[in-house]
Amino acid sequence: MEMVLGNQAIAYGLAENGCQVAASYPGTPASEILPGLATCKARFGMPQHVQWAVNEKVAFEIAYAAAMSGLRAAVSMKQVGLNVASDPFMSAAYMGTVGGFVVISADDPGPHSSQTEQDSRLMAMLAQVPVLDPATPLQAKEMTALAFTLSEAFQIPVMLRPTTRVCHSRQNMALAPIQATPKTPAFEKNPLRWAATPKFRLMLHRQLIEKLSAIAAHPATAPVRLNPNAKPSGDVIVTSGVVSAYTEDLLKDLGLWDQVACYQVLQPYPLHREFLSYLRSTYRRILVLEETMPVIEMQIADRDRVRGRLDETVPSFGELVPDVVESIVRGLFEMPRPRADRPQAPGKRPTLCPGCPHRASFFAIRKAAPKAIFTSDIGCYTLGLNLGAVDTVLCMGAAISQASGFYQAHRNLAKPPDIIATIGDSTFFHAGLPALVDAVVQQARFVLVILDNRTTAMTGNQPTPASGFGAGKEPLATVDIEALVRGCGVSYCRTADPALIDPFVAEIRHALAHAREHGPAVVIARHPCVLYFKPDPSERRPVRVSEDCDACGFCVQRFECPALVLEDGAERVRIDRTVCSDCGVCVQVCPNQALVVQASADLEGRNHAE
Amino acid sequence: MRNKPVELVIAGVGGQGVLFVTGLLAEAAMKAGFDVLASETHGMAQRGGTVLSHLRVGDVKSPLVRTGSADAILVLRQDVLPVASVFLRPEGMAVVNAGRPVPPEEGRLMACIDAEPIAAAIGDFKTVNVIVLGFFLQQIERHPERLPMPVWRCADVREMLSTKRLKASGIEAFDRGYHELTS
Repeated sequence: MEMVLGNQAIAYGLAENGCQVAASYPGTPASEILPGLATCKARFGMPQHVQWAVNEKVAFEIAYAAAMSGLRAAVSMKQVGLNVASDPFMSAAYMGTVGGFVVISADDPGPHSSQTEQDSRLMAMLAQVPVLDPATPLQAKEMTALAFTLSEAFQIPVMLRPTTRVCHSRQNMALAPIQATPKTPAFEKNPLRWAATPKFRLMLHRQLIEKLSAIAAHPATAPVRLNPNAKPSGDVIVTSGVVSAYTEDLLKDLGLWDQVACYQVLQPYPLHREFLSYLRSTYRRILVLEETMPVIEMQIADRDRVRGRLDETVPSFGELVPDVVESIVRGLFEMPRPRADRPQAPGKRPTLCPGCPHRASFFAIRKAAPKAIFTSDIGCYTLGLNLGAVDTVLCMGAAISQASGFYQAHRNLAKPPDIIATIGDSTFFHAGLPALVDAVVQQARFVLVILDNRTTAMTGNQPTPASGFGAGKEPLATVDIEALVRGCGVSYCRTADPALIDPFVAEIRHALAHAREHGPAVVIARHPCVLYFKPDPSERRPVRVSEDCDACGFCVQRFECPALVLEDGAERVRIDRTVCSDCGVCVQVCPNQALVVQASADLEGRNHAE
Repeated sequence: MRNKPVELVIAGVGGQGVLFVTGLLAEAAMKAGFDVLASETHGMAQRGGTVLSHLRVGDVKSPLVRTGSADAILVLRQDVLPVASVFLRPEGMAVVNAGRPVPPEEGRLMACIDAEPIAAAIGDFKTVNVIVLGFFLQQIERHPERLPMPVWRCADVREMLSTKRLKASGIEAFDRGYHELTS
């Protein structure tokens, strides 16, 4: 027995069921699936190919080609990653697969760490592929087997759609050793299928519809009655995903487990035809509880009996946490709440880590051009908004194209505003490149700061194409960011360390002067992530607050380091030693020079040596 | 009627090691023969924001604790106490890292420990989480009636802690938390 994270359980399920090629791009809540596979590969000596790809579209196409060759393959991503991979996803549905092909798209109701609450099951519906919706980590593991066999039985890609509460829950389970029995790849040429022209696409679409019709009667994925012993009544609760788990525990707590029939739908699309007619002929009221869109609900045509999102019995946005499920169930069955609801207290907002190099970058950027338009992107550095140096965050790569767009929108003003785009190294590789090529061609006048911390930090420090190693730490080739920027046609590209704030401010000003006249200028802010590359103890610069501090609050507001604390009525700023990383960058920030590096014996020695 | 599960909420801010404490308690419960489900916070919120973990032990399917249901909360920083205490049941127990004692609400047990001076004395500020964990184990030994069933024993959790890759200060921190005097 071990405590297994939902994502690791999915990875184990994939490995156990013979997945030979897996690719992914990191994104919360899906990030731990691929490393889980790399762990299985090492733990059981398996020959699988497990890789981080530059983005989700590329990951999808790599895994899909393996499935076309008869191997079992999987691609994993977060829900907005599927937007990026939607082009191959829609097309692959028509062409189908030979080896089992599982598309894992992890949704984030809430959202906890995403731009949207979108429901990947609707994407499955749009692509016309079946989707499985696990309730627990254990069931997610079991569903990988179901997904592979379903995929092979009908030669169709199958989506597995876990949500945050499945991905990031831990459950005790036994993981038996895996014996790898790899298949030999055999790509059979068939251009009418694999390179189908529109005329043949119509035929493929007809075949797809036939497959779906058969899948809607496939016994292995039919809905499951969770409480067969419940007394027959006119009411039924139809659930899917983790909401199924919430509902089961809640009905037991409320004493309704023996009173109301409850089903878990394993395959929300296509919904089983027989189940639909059974619901219609048996129940007076059908409560549908699912996240986050009414996918099951919409497939039940008989509107008079259905309670769910469409008649506002269930809220149309936000996570269906157990408390929300409780109010819905109590409301429907007219059970008053025993106690008043306590209001949810606001939490502490996220902030860049103490010692994070992005903090220095944003401080310098704002100092260099306080009135600029700041476009930014997806990553830890989105939190630059706390430092007033992020105005926009749209989606992966948009910092650069939006900077171009803001330039075009404002270019005819007498004095157009400066524009500074910030993007992380991994995001630049993911979706920034085409936008930069476009900016060069259009001579869009802005400064692009690539925040190069040498890792994909937000999602757990996965490697980037510049890292030189892969998902299992195996050595790989590298791509150089400067060379890439120059290869896009950018003539101005300089690299600097943002931790040296004044020189970095000068770099930004210099780049702005170039951009105003000539077109895009790039500054690569290079400083390693403090979480991943633990600084050497010799680089520690412990800071103390001197008597010169007048509690003006400048450092707390503008530098916003969690280690700098100014309590109400305090005479001085205090350094919270429990979180301070001793980076010493803040001494450059204080207008009164009241933050000073502590003189210590070994620091003195080190300075001498220099 | 099934046995009531044991439900905990562990709260702190990103970087404090909330997930470490949750994982340790989950594993210890599993080793004691219970079924366990735990829910974690990952991603953006982990960056210095409020991190909440839910831990449910016993006959459960859902990984989440409902508001007003937790038997105990472990709070690694006082400023996240309001977020965590929403989950605590009326007779629940709050174990809080706080500089000054926090007055309890009626019926609830409020056990406070000032973990930072202890961490400072050990010379490792990153051990606050383990100090609070040690203190929590002391409290459940003193007030076993606050949990619906006994799940954790100090010796087992300490044993589990010693198998983790920790600096020597980790065990010392745990012991200091466990032996902290309370009124």
